[in-house]
Amino acid sequence: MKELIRFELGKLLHRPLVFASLAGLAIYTAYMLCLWVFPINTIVREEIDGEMKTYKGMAAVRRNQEIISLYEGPFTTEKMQNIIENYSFSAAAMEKNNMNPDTQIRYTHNYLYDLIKGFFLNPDGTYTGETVEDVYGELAPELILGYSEGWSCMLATLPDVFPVWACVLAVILSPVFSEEYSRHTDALVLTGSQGRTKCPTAKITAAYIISLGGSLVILTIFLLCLFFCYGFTGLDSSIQLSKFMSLQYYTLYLGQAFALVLLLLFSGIIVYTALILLISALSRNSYASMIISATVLLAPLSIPMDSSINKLLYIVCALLPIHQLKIINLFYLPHPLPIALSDVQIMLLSLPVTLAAILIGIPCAKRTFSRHQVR
Amino acid sequence: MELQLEHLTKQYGSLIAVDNLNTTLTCGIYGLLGANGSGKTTLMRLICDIQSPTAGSICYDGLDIQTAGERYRNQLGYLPQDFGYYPDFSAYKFLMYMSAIKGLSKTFARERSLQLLDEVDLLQVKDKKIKTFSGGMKQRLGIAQAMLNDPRILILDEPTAGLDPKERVRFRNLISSFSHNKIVLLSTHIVSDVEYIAGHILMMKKGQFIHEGKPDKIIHRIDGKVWECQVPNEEVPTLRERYTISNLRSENDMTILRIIHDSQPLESAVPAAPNLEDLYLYYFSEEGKTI
Repeated sequence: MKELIRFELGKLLHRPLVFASLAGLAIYTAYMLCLWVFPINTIVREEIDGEMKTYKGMAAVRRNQEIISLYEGPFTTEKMQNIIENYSFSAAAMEKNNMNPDTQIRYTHNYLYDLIKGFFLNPDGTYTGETVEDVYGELAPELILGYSEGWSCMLATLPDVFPVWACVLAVILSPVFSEEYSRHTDALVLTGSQGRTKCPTAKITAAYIISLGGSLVILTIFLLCLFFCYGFTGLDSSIQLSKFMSLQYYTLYLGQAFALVLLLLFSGIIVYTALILLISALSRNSYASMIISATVLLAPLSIPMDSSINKLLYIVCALLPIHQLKIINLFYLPHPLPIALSDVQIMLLSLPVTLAAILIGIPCAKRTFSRHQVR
Repeated sequence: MELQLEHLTKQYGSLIAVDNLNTTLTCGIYGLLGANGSGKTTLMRLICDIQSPTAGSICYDGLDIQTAGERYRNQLGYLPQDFGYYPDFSAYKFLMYMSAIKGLSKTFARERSLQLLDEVDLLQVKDKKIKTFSGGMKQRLGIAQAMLNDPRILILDEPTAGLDPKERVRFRNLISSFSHNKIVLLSTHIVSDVEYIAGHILMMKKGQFIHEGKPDKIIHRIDGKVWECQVPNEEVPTLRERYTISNLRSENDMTILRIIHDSQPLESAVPAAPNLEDLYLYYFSEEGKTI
């Protein structure tokens, strides 16, 4: 069996189109890492004795970590006021550095200050007078402050990388069964004693080694970059007190969000791999299989996922691979979904969908290949 | 060991490719003859269980091959007519892959692959990619893969296509030495290949066996229907239009013709001993007239 899996892996991977796709994915992932995860554009500005001091890149990250270490833990009105007081720029210092004091909140200060300025400050940087309870309502007592920049950058970037990885998977895995038909090797394979039993199992195993292995590699690269740049701290901080996802309307911590992201990414990949395998077993050739697989992945993007959509259709769409891979966008939603289920409940529904893909999709693909009639 | 075909039928829409065939194959080499579209390839695919019959059954030692499944495929070697391969595999890697599909152990597969590569004269190029091979080399590789598992039932669809005369002789010897206690079924358009090595002939037309038996016996069915005559060269075109001519040979301004016809075609024509090619042309005269 190991030997068959090894052969199938070789057959799937040793193709020029696959090399080109993987190279494209590597370039795109590197670009997204540089753009969103590496702190290339991270800046911290501080006013010290009337002078403006600027930190950039890793130095800015270290400075942010130092600042946040002073405020870690429950987020209170007192802490918020303290942050505003300590890190606002004076009008004199701003003018000296050609900055407009009337639009103070448009300028980068530090991670913490920038997180809260939109909720508690007027455009000129003066305090609005609102308390944490006023802004966050019933969520206020549960809010935890921590340095979450790395995690939030990663959670925001993965939904852009994984759909591209899914497209690459369509290129890699589409030939798994269909190429045997178009190359006329199906007759040889199906007359071998293991051709209808171990061989399709080896093909399916090889496909999952590639899809899950590749997903793990991408995730590991992201985690390594995250660790290298930011460390792993901040998992216990509230998603409302993080970059990009501050409007979330229910209690969620970044650790929980990361677990949900993992669930969705892997369930999306498992379901999509099963779909590719089934399509490949049913297609006459690998090009047809690839086009159909890519269409199945991307077509649901044309359905608007907003309040105009039918509720049942929303749930169905949310459970399709592309939305499982992109449903992390739910973390950005500032209001409840237009359906009775919460977004977390929808995310958890991906478990039975994944199970169905494994229990129905994969055996169907295997059966279709095993019973294929050679022409 | 026997392979029993009972009321075997395969229909594609309104076209009957294999029509109610009944026969029993036992150990020996069977030559399957028939024109294009006569149902040979479909019959072979049915025997290999890569197409399901519309009606009837194929039993291997009394057990339906579809029920026998892996046990039957363990005994099977098959070279399809349109032999597919993986262009980026080397010959050796291809045989190792086919061995894995046939469930052979790695150690045995290594030895067997090298032995067969030697027998089909590909050992020197075992590490070259198949896409660099000529048609004949690919065909020889196809023959080798069919024999990997030392099958008791060997099905070869047009195995000599693309082989040069020397390779065909080599192939015939290989099959003859291999066929002991085995069922070998081979189809070919090159009648002489079958004539030399087949102990039994199955002649197919429109999905049915029109003749089956030992070559020397079925040849006698056209006794008195093969004629030889010598005619002036200028008469040849007219005679070719009118009769099935299995051979013609020029000698100065005369041509010696071998004509297949139910009655004496010319007064000068004398009866000749028929051979298998004559029999083939007698039944598939439309192809015969193109010679």
